Amino acid sequence: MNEQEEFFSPNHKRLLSIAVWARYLAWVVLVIYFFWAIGTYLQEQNMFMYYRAVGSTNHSNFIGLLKGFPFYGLSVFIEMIGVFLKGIVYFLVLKGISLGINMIVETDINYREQKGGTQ
Amino acid sequence: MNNDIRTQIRSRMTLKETDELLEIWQNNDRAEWSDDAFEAIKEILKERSVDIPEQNAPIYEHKEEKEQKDYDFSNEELRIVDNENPPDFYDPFDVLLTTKRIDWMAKVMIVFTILYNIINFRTSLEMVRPYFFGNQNSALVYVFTALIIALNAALGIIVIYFPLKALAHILRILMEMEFRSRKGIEPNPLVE
Repeated sequence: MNEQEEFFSPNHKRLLSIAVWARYLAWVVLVIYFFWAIGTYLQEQNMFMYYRAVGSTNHSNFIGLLKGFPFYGLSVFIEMIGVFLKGIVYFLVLKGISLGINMIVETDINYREQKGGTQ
Repeated sequence: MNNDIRTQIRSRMTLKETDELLEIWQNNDRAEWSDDAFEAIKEILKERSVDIPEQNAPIYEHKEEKEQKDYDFSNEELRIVDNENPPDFYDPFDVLLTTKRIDWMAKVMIVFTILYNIINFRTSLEMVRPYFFGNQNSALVYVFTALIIALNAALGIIVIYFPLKALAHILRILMEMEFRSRKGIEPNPLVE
């Protein structure tokens, strides 16, 4: 049992723990950015409702405004997509970090095994 | 020798959380995990005083093997994925898939950055205009704005594209290093 415990150093365990955290965090970040993208749309909608309340716009609803000004609609859509794409990039980076750490640990363990166990 | 391998498998399994071990045990994926690995998991679960659940029907073939054909993996990459001695801490197929996605995402971000800057041309124009006191509608204003947008897009692409490409290459190199560190793998480099 002691031999098994010594085979993995505290650094291995620490790295594997970071890898697990990074893997789960990647999904959390992806979900957060998905909702953030939706939030971007809602923020624009709230702005529209404010402008309507103060009488700065003649449009009765937000969708009507987007249809009336397709360029503005496109900019809102691009803004949303931008937030979501950023989330995907962070997701991939975190997943890559997790995989990279696991591969480093695996490589080190392989070399240890070849040298005949603990060092 | 066999005892040595079993000890190593067991050592690796003891590092895993109980939930993960239970998942592996129940999934009963015989294509991914060896019989010795399942023996080790059973012993560890018993030691941890966990009720050992029923196993699912054994899986002898990975559905991923069929999916591999859908991706443009090189022969060397497939050699790593199909190796008989798979790694314990990561899935090579997952690494290759992630690197492909990172490569793809890097290209998507180029298109997006250009598109984003074009869409925001008018905003940039309004920012540039006040600096041209004489004639705010001259062609020079538009040319200057276009230059700023091009510079901004180029910087955005550099900041996102190159780190992503670097990450994808680092992952591939780490996987090759890990593959070459395995027992019984000839030391020939995979990338000439």
